[in-house]
Amino acid sequence: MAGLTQFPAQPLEILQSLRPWTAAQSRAQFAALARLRWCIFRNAFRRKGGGGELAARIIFLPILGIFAFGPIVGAGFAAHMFVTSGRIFMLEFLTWGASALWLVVLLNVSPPGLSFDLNSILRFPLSFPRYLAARVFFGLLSASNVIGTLSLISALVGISVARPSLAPWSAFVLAVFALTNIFFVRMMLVWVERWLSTRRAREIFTAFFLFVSLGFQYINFNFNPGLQGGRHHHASSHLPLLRSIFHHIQPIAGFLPPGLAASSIVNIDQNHIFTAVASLLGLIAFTAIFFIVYSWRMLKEFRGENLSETTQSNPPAGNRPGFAAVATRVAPASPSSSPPISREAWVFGLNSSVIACFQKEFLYLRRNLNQLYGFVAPLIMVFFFAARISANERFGDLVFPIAVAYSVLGVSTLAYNSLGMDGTGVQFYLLSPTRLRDVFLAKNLLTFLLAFVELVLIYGVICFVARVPSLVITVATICWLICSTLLNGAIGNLRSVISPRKVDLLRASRKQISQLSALIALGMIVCCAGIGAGVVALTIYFNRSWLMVPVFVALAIVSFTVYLQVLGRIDTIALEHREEISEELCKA
Amino acid sequence: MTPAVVTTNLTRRFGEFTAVQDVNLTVAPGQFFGFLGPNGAGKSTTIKMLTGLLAPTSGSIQILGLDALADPIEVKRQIGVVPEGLALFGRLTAPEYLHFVGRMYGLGAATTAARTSELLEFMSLANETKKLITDFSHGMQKKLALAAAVIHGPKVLFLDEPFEGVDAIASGTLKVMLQGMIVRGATIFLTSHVLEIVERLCSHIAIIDRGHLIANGSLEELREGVQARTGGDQAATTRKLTLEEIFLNIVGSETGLRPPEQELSWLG
Repeated sequence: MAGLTQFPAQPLEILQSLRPWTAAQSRAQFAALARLRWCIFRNAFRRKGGGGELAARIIFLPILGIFAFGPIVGAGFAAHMFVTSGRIFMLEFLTWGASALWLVVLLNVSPPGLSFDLNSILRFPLSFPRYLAARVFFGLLSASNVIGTLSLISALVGISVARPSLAPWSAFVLAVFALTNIFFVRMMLVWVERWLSTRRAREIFTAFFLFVSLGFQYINFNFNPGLQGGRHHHASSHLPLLRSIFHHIQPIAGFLPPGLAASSIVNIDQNHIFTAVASLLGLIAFTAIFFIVYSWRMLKEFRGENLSETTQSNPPAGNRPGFAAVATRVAPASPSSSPPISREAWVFGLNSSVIACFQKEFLYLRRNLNQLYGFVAPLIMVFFFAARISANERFGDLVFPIAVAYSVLGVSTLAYNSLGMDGTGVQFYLLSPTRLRDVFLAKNLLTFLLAFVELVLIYGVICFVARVPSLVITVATICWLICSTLLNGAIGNLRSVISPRKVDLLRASRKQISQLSALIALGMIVCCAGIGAGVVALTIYFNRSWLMVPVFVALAIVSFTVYLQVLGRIDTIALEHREEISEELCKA
Repeated sequence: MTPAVVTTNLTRRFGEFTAVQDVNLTVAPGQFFGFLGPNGAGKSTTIKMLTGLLAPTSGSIQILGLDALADPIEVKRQIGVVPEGLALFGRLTAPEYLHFVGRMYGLGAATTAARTSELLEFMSLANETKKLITDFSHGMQKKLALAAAVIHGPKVLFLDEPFEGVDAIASGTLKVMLQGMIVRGATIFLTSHVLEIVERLCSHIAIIDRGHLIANGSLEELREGVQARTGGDQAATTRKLTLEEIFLNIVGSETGLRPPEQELSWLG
């Protein structure tokens, strides 16, 4: 230990120069973070393909604006109507709606700046309060916060116009309610991400999400008058049931933040000051709880909690074989000899690379419950609703193609980032003597196989619960499916090499596909569904149903040609983009 | 005899910045070749170009006499690579991954299976056959990446920092395996910042700095060169210079490194 004791002591003047952290330094840190986020956001558009990403974002923004406009303006009008019509108690629907809107936008619109994780600032000299402030502050301008807050402001305007005396109290209550929602979604996201850090939890969460999603679709289908097709349900036929559900839920819902916010405003209107204040205090208590739970998670992160899936067990020592013996067996025979090539290289006309990739993709599919659920969920929905839709004369024989389009098109977006799950493994494709053509062919073959299995199962379900589709419709649907699957495969392959995105299963709030790819995928879905519907409608209109078969066959041939063309060029295109592929998919 | 690796005027530019400039390199077959350089010198860019991950701006690359740019598939059949990112598929188990790699290199199923179990045993990963690669520690992932790089018996092996993050026991295992490959006639092209390991393993060394190749030769040749340059230094001529001293001498004189005591005086 002599060396340690002889280590030169810290010079006194340096210790003296260590001054307390100043507010100016904190502000400088915040400014640096803001600048960092801006630079990352800006530089994302300077990369190859960045122009397309920017264009996609510019296109998406007005679409998002249109979707947001209705709820925002609607909140104002609804609030005004509730107050002026003497049904101010219905404000509770509005506050619940605002909270739901917050969540829906949060789940559907990812934040910009994909590649920046605020965890990474932990290595800097930040105290916990400053770290927490940074986490809270950066992200305030997320789409869900902006849209949710605007809807509450709109509601406030509606209330204030209808009854100006309510304005000050409502403004305060709704401001607290906005904070409650902001902290609630933050808390939810960080805890969901914490739970998603293990594979098992991800699987459970995916299953839960599937059932919630199926539940929503079931409720929408059964209670939305627009989807009843005038069969036997009147819009009000479910009202007693809904009222009964509302009366059962209401006592509990009244003690939750949306209920408390509405109740506080309603009670101040009725001069029940004590109850109004109590409700507001309840709301503040919820805000504090959400903030504390969020902060608790942040504190764990701040203290360096590792969310890695890595189990820390060390491999048992075991018997170590003779190194030299193995090494000599592994080493090559001579510089001139080639690696031994398999004699069983070709199976079903496919070379061993395609077979190996296909096996690997199948293993990945087996371990990806998301994909499996995406495959199974539409079948469940078709099973539920096929009988009802087929009873509607408007649809009749078209249930089969509608079910196939619904089932297959929804999951077709996966093809637009087919390298995303491979992560750093993509380097292997670039390093090995494999053509990317074989890799994509294997990936596509699995997709085609799944689509085919889905088609057969849907056919079986439709035959079982509805009616056997006619031969013309069946053949036309198969041809349409071939056409759309090949087209999606071709465009998806191109997008996968031109604009890959690393799929991060640990981050619930991250988008797993590029903005432009998402836009193109959406366009393709609309295009395929539109062409299918158009051809069917035209041939039925002209009473030439049989014509749809040759038309779809022709389209399938065209798609096949396009697919082969793209597949033939995929190696060249991938070579041109290999640096971006490596950079994006191999990043930490 | 055909050289294992030949580069002629190899250059790579990123916009205005030239990462590698006119690198001419020849690696003879059977050499354990160390490729050194300070951070940002162009090592990774060079190794990426040699393995086909990056296209050169100009110049040519020949691996075992094959043009790497004209015939990349055949070149890739002859080489094995442990890249910086390790190129692993996280959601496979180790045997599944090695099976996949073997098949991708065209090995038969039986050969792949036999080599997979041998390699897993050799790398002490045989007890981890159920665990997904994503659950492996960094060292285990590195061993697996090396196993995958050699499963097809490559004639030239490119290793980018193979010993980083690997424990001493595993490191010993890898060294024995690599030396065994050299004995069998393979060529190994290695980059590492651990100069002691390079000194112990490599017979030939090249040093790159700021994109230029500034030294190339056997360890003895480099040593003699440095000793000739520091001719007046009696101590240096009477004892063998270590690779670290050679490296610092060559790179230091090129970059004009100043003695540390003249810099960062505020560190104390």
